[in-house]
Amino acid sequence: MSDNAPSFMERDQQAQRRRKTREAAAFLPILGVILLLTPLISVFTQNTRIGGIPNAVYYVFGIWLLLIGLTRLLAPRLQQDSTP
Amino acid sequence: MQPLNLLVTICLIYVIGLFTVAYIAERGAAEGKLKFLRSPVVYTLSLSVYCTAWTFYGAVGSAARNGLEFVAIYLGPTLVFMGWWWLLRKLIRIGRTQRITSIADLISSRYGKSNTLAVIVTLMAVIGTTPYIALQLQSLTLSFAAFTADSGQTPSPAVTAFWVAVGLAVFTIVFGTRNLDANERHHGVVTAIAVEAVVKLVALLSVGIFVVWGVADGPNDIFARMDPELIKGGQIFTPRWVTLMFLSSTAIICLPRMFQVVVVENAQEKHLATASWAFPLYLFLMSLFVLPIAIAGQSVLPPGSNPDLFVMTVPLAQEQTGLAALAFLGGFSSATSMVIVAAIALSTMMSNHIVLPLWLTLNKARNPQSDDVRTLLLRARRISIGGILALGYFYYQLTGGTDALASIGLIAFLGVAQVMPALLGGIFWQGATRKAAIAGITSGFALWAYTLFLPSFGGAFILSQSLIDNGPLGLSILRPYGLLGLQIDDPLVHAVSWSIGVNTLVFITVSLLTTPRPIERRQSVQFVNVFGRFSPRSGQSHSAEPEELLVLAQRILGRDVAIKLFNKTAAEQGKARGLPDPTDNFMEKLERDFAGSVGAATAHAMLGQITGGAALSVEDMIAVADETAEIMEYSARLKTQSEELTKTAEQLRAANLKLTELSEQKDTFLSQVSHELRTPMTSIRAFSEILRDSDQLEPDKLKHFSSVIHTESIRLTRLLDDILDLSFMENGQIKLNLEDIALDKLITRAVITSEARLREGETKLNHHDDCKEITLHTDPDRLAQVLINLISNAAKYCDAANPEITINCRRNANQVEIDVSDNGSGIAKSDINLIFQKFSKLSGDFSSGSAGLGLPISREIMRNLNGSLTYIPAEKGALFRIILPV
Repeated sequence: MSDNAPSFMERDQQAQRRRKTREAAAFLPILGVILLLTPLISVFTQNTRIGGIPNAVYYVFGIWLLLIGLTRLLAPRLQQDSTP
Repeated sequence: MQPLNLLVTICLIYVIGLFTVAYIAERGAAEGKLKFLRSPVVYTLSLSVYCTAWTFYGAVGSAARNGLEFVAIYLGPTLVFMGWWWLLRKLIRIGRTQRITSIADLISSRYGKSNTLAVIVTLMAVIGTTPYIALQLQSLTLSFAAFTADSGQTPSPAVTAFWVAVGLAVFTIVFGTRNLDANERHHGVVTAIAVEAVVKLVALLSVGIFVVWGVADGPNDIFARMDPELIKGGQIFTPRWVTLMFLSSTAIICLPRMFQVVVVENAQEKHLATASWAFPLYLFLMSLFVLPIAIAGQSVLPPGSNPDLFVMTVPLAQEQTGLAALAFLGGFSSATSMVIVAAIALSTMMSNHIVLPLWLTLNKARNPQSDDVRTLLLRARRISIGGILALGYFYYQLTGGTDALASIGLIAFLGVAQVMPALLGGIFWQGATRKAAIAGITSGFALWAYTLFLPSFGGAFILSQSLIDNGPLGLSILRPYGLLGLQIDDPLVHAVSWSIGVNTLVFITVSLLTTPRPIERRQSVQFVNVFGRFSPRSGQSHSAEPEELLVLAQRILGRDVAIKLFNKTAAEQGKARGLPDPTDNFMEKLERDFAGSVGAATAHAMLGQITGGAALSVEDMIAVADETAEIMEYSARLKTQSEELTKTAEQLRAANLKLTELSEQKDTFLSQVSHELRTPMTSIRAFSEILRDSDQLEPDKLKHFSSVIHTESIRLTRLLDDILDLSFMENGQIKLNLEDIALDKLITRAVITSEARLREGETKLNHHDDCKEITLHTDPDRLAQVLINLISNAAKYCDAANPEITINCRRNANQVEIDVSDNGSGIAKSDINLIFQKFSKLSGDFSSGSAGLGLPISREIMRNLNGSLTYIPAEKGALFRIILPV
């Protein structure tokens, strides 16, 4: 394989990665809806406390932060994808 | 210093600071400096106009009343920004390519640049936003009052609100309508808002940190003080939770001010990638300390204190005046940034969609170029801003302090959310039509007004209290809070279900039932496929005069920009000087640029006035649609034509070849004929000269000479007869004596006639007598002539030691084949094509006994008898085949 031109396998892998990134971008809001907008939320927000703070607070803010982190991870890759 | 004076001073210094920031930013942007102004950070911070005073103060109030519910207001936008790749990116791209100036412009542009829709959305936005502005004024006056409550110097709320409104109007007019940017971006305002966003965040975080670690002893201590009823386990997920999430996620797009900062003020698409996580993070930080502040307020302050002011009253109660002042500034920032952006967005919508179309209609008769549209627009915007703030102020005066105003935040959210179905349908579904958008939005809006907005006044406005309780005319089934008997305790959830549900259903149904107009179809393609490629339109010219266009462009875009644009286009069209031709592409670009200043519908209408209102007719659309088909047909035609040409050229070449050949043949024929005639003539002349010149000749010799002359004359006559014969036959003038004759009899006759010649070479003639039964209707003499010719040829050219000639007859279905063959070496391959030609010499073996006309004559005879004569290359010897029909 020559060094400057990416081989077919490499290009294929890149395309796969891009597709996966886009799919992940589509999945992220769905994940958010599942975690925050379904009765599932009740399972994790029972009336218990961890160190004095209701776990509902932990759950809501924790999930929120998690979602922000995931978006942060995806954003640069998606951006790269949209400006080839 | 008195608290009031202190507060006023702080506010003034702060406002002067904002003016300075905005001014520097505006200057910097104009000079192309201050690159950081266009950074994703500024964009993200400017999005914080979402957090108004209502959220700054109200979130704590909501948390104090309903626990975690307030988070939903922030989680909705978070979800939308997480899906930025699919929705916001598309919106921004559309906004850029179509030069969208507002949410009303987007809807109107998508649905065929309909001004009706633009007006509807604009009115909705005004109705939904005015109370919201009033709410900001109320928050400001309340915080003002709370700050100065102890000093006894509290100014009247009306006065505070008035001066705040005036101040905001001035700021907005100065920086919001400085010029008509073709892209509708306001760098000064955006930068000032970004600064305010930082102030908001810092204020809330400071108060939060103070509460958690100053008032209480860390997070655990704060939550230990919490009323256990506030967050009850497993009770977060309620219909209201879902409703709030839905409303807030639509609000982040549909609120006029949000659309303004998210789409219109977006400088670069890539900023969105940063904002996608940074803005949710901002919201996260804004809400992190809301619960602790609420809990602290409940535990520190006396019962009955207004939880909506905890952000300020908690530090005040703890003697932290500086912190309280910071909190006040935070609230002040929230309120002012919201009002400024909302006023800009609304004034753009009002001037573009209401004032300018009205002016155009009123001035139709006048020369439309006599006034400067830019001046008119700027004036309209300034007046609109003043009007909007005045409306907000009066609204506050009428309803201030009532529950009606406090609950208006979410009510306004639902009002503007009615645009959502038309918006989403518009950018993802090509089949959505203008009529459907109008029907959906108006029905949703009417339901919203009936089930939520009007009843929220508690009987004070249009709907009376008894109507709200019992339904109109006592029809309880039509009660605003229980339409058709729907039992939902929360009016908000009830109204969302009805208005959004009906809106969406009507929108989809009407879309399916109606057909879009041509211009809608074009716009729908450009919106839904904004990331695809558009086929460039044809370069056909419009009827517009370039001079008129330039005048109009100068009025809307400004002199310099317009001239620059026209020069550039002219250069692109390959014109060294002068104005560009009004091609489709140019007109489209002009319309977009105009739309960037005055909105799509107005731009369309204004250009329509110049082009005679026919910027896009049905015929245009059909032509565009047919263009492809035409091109395909044309290319197919070209292909056929070129094929035909090739064929014709081929035929011509063949004909030419044949002509050349014929000409050669003619030459050969003439030279042959003269040669053939010359030989006997020569001998005749020679012998006749001898006869003439010699007086005394022996009788023997005399006899010999005269017989030679005689023979040669006969030969000459025969030759001429042959030529005449051939010429007759070739022209089809031969006279045939047709009669019925038995074939074997005819062959026998020919054989007998040939016997004389055969004896010379001792050739053996085999006649297979198998044609007895066959009777032909033909010319016997001619056919015999052919046979004799073939037999004598065979006898003459057969080079075998014991020459043998065979005649065979065969009868097929409807024809008779007569083969005449010999046992010689046959005819050389190269000569086969020549034997039927006149005077042909076969390989130089030319006997003077024949003029070489036998075979051509025979063939012509057979042709005239409807038969054929062919040479069949046999294994051995020559084989000529006569075919005759029976």
